Amino acid sequence: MDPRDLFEILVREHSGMLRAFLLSAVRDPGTVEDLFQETFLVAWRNLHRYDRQLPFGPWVRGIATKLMLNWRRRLGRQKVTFCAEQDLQLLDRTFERMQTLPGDTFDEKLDVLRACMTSLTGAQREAIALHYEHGLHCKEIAERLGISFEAVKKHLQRGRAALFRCMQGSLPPDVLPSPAWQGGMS
Amino acid sequence: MTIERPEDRFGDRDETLADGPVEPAPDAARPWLTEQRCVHGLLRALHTADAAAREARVQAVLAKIAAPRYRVLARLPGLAAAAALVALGVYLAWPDPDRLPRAEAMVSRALHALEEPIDRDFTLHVDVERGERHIEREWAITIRPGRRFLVEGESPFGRFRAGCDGELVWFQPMPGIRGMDVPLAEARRLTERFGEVLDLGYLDLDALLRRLPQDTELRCVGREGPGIRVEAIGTVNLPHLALRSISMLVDDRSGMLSEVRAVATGAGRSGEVEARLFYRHVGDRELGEGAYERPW
Repeated sequence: MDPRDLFEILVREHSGMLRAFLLSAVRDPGTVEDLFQETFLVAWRNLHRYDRQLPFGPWVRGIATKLMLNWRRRLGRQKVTFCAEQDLQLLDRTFERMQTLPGDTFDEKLDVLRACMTSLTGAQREAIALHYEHGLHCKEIAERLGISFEAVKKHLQRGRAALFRCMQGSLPPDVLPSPAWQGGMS
Repeated sequence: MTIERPEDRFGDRDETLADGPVEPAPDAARPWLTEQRCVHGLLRALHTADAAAREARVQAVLAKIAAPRYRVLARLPGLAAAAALVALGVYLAWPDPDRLPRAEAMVSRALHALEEPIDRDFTLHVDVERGERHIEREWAITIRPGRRFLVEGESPFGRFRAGCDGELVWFQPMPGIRGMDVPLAEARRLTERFGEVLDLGYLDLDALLRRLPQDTELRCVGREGPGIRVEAIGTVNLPHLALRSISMLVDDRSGMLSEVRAVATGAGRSGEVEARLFYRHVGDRELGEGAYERPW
């Protein structure tokens, strides 16, 4: 069997979560796509270093984290806006927990997020739909809804916090709470 | 008593909603910012999760690891064994260097090449059969990512220009006059007025390529010089024409489309119309996005 065929299975299984991880840390969609491609190429070149006793997802996220830091140094933070270096580890651990959401595929895991949308208030749901589905900036949402920029930000931030809590409630009971809960801030 | 929520304390440190970099976050803000970022990434993924783009991404990775630079790495000691471990002990065979690449991977490479922010020049030869009549046209097509394209050619009125800047489709029947324009979503209103064989569906090469893996069965049929011939078996239905017998030559080194041939059929005003399309890549330029805007 061609090693590429084997690698393809891993790429297909982990591409969704890896891309979400990159999208959470890097603003520019083009940079996300470049990092996505580069991460799997580096993984392919270094496959002999992968410890098969460990899950593949955290290993590729580790590669992605190093690449993000390299890009950040190369391009400068002003141009592409990356997540702060010290936050990437926390983010990686949080995604590790998201990996345990119910569902075999990334799409099925996203079903949990879709279902959690019903737990939001109307204003939160509307702000999230306008921002993520229709691509509107906070200022544009504020104009459309006739509310302040700050109110839009609050709706988005509270909505995202509610979605996080809801998804956490779907995790298996033996999964440790995310570091985001350890301070009891939500 | 007012309870201060995390977003009240740390909302300004949330980069995901800021226009640019923000002040470094204090340690106390990090857990909250992490959960915000995590959901932000999942929501972005949720709303950009179309199957075609996902498949193109995977194919782009596979095409790159098939390139010689990466294939050499598969011969490094240890990697074959490690890959075998990943595959739970399945035996690994060397890739055959003469084997044709996967057709989906070639289409994916062509898409990737078209995504580069430069301007690609093609000639488009259109050979129309309408009953007993036979008409030939040749247009110069320039395309750029973001659904931008320019078309230039001769019409009964002189040299016409048409284009799309990603939002607006415009048509100028001759230089120096004010033409017509419509939003991209309503382009059919405009194209229907200019012959029976003009269809945005094939002028937007990027969108056309994205549809091929879903709408057709792809296969690589052989090498032609530096290119690989890919055929799409099936029909792609465009706004008012149907494309079939699509055949592409993709440069094996650059991934660029060297040529595209297809047969377009549809119902014209005076009966069935059939057009043979032949795209040929003639070069690249750096025009910039402004070149695609309406000239008046």
